[in-house]
Amino acid sequence: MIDQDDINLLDYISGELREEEREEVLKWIESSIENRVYFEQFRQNYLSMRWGTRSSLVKGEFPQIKQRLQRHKIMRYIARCAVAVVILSVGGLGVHSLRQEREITTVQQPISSISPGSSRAYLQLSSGEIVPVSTEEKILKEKGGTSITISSAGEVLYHVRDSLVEVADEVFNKLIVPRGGEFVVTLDDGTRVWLNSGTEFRYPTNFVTEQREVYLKGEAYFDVKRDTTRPFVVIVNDCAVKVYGTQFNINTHKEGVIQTVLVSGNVAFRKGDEEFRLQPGEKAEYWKHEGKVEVNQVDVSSYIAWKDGTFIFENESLEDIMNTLSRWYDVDVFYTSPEAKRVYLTGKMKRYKDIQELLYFFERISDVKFTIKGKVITVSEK
Amino acid sequence: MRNLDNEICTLLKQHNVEGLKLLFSVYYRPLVLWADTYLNNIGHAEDVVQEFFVKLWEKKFGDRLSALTLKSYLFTAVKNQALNVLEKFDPLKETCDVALVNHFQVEYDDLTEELLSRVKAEIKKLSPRSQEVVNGVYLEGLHYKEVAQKLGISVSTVKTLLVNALKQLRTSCEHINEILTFILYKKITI
Repeated sequence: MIDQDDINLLDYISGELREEEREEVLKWIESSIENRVYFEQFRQNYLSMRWGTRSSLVKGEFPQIKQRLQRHKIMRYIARCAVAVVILSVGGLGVHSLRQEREITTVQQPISSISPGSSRAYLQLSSGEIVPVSTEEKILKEKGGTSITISSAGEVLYHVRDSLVEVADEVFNKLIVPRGGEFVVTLDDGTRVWLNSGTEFRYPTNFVTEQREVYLKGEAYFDVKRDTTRPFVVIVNDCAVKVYGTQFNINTHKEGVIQTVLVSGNVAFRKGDEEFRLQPGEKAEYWKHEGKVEVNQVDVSSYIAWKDGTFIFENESLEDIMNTLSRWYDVDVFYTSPEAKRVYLTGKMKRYKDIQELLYFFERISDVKFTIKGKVITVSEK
Repeated sequence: MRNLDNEICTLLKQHNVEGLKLLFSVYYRPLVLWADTYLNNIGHAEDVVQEFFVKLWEKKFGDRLSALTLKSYLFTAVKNQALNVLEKFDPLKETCDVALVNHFQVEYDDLTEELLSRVKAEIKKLSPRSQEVVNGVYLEGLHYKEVAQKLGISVSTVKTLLVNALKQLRTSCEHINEILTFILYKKITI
């Protein structure tokens, strides 16, 4: 039963009361032990509910602690070598094109609001319901008896129960990976798909048609389960990439371009009536507006390194590099001069590191300078 | 919990990073929510707790820890840090519900991962309307008037729904047991 006392306590705890009213309630609480106990129970419930609801807002993961430790180490080291120029080697970072050594120009302060991406995404079920997913284990149910498991490794796994009732229609799910996120899906047929930041992937929970068809917008690495009876088709806008069992990366982030890199197996890239076959180690770029397809031999590692948690830039323009970083770190980038965009860099590093470390090294090996304010990075020339 | 505390202290004394990892997995979220009780900002709370863990590791505070006092040390230290941060950014203490945390000491004993799971499960059992009220108040930080407006109901309905939800919540509340024992004792001596 609820009475006025309960409402008073609620108002008291929520800070809704004026001075005199607060005094009244305090008097009531302290007037007897029963009241005091009642209040304590009430407040404990209030706090428990607060903690329980807000617990889903806590995003921190242990790797962030490691990053802070690393950053503290660097800051201490830098403080000790203010003017002298030293080459720092921070576990896993190899810088290929070293230029003339320069003085350190800017180093940002430790408390920053920029963190590297992590396993998080939004799963839209066939009902339209959107479930946030992360490394918190969950089990969800879909139509037709399909069970969906979210593992602590940041992966969505589909398991269609062998049911007596044949599911006639395909049931579609959509995984939306925001900037600063990444996720992995294992489809019903065993195909694994790694999704990078800023990606939308739509797929059936169960493959029933003659072709295994999925829809992609963004960037994903596919490891397709071999099935010669059912080709796997990735549909991007009006293009289709058709495979039988194979590993490849598709990237649609660059405006007007669909980039497909084949690692192994074989794919056919189809646009309208035209079909282009790719060999392993080849990259096909379809330029929408020009309507042309360009095929090149490439070193695939720089295109797929992201799925193993590494950035590899091979003589890439700073503009392209910053575009990639802005999606992973969820930051905005501005340039004070167009020349800064055309600086070319080569390098490799773990993408779970702080962005400051990356930028610090870019500054050392080129003529650019970075200024960070909140989640905005401004690039200028020295 | 006691076993884990032992494990954590032993590993930290050896400066074994597994100790820090274990500390993190058991206490990170509870401590963040604890700091958030004073800061009313999860982002700041996470910063505070992360910096605290880093300091604990770097300054080898692990050497001075004992399993029995670990929890109280953690929660007290984090609360102090949170209040320090509050001093800097909010000297007028406008973010913190004065009545909620002052005057009567807030107990952290129940703040465990187990409680969080339990409460989340309990909340799911509430009616959709009640859940909306709960989310409005706790997640979005809205005042009762704003929640009422948002849901198209009266303020008194909002409060009633919330109080009902709170009553449905069953918490173990160790320190309540202490007070009950105290009452029993009092009654006996009288």
